[in-house]
Amino acid sequence: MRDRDLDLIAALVEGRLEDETEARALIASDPEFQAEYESQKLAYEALSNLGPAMLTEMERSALHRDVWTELRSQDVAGEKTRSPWYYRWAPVAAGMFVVVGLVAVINQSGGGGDAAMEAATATTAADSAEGGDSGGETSAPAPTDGVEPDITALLSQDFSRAMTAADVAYYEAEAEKVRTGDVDTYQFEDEEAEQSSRIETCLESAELTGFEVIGAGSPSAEDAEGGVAVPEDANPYVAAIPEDTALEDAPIAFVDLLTCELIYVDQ
Amino acid sequence: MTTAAQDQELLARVVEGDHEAFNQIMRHHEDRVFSVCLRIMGNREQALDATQETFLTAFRKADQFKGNSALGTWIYRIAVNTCYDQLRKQKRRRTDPIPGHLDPTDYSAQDEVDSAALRPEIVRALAALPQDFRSAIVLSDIEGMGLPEVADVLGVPVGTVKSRVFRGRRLLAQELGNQSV
Repeated sequence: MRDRDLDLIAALVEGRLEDETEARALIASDPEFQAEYESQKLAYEALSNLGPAMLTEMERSALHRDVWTELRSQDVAGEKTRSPWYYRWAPVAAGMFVVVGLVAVINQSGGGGDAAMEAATATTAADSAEGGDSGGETSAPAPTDGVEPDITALLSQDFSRAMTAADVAYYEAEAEKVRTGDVDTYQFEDEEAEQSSRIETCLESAELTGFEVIGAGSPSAEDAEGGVAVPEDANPYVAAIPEDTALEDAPIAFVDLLTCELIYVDQ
Repeated sequence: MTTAAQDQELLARVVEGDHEAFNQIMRHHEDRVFSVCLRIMGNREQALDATQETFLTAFRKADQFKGNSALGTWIYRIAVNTCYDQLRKQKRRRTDPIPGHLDPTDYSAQDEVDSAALRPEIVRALAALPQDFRSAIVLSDIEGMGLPEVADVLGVPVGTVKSRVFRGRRLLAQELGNQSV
């Protein structure tokens, strides 16, 4: 069955065709098409008849009560104290410092070499990312002539989320676990394929193309051992590193598995 | 329907701790989030838990929202992922046999509102589908989202959604056929 045939059958089932002649002829031409049409129609009508559900008033009240009770008990809004203002500008200052140093070196050596340029640029990007981890806004990194573009893109991410020191400590501890192979992983069991697909989807949403998954974690109270507290709002995460990079040298990107957003990069 | 600019403004207010802004977002999306969760989880109580968790996550992670998609799309993505997560946890917990009165397939134990909103044969058939197919047809055929919006929520290309919806319907029809035998 060709894609166009499937599209035609789906359009007929969903009643999207102004002129159904071609679709009707198609399903009449082959028992396989006819069977496909009937199964699609059966499922579509069953689902359409089900229709969207609504909360009852009791459920709605319970939802609002429980959400606000939970939020107030944790005082989430008040708990998230932003990093000091100078943390935001630290990566920019560090980047400028390196650029100024680079210009001085180039001037002294009468033009400098490409290797020096690349090394300095890579350092700039790395410095920017460290600042980004603290919740700072980073300037766009200098172009790297196509060298490891994924890493550069990752390091230039703007982490607008204001992370607390506790958040940073938690993800640093998780990164250490990942590096030592001690990360709590999902028990995929028979859902392995589905979970893998979900993780891949999340990596794509976080624009981490060219990265490979090296672990996934689900925060629990047990993680508190060793003195690192689990943040109240920590969600399951997936950890990924750039492909073909040694784990000890690679930045580890953490992606929230519920929001599919990049939340932290450990250098 | 809120515009992207209104979404951004509301989220900015939430990040600043404006509870009324978050209430507006909840009121606007709660029925649909609940509906998506109900169709994926197949049980009102679990769907309510997942809905609650979805909004708690949305509140806590409001500062992660980058505006690359509509706010609703972002919230429904959290809802679908939360449901997946809770289903996964349920499976991990189910090491012991489930008492009959708690078995989600024991539809006689569910209350009247369940039987009105959840047609047991469809719920069973939906529950038998792989999660990827289930979420695609729930968003498309029950919630009436267009393929591009479903693709945004699930974070996959439109072609993949189209394929999942088609194959999901085919499997659902098989399941419904098997039940009627």
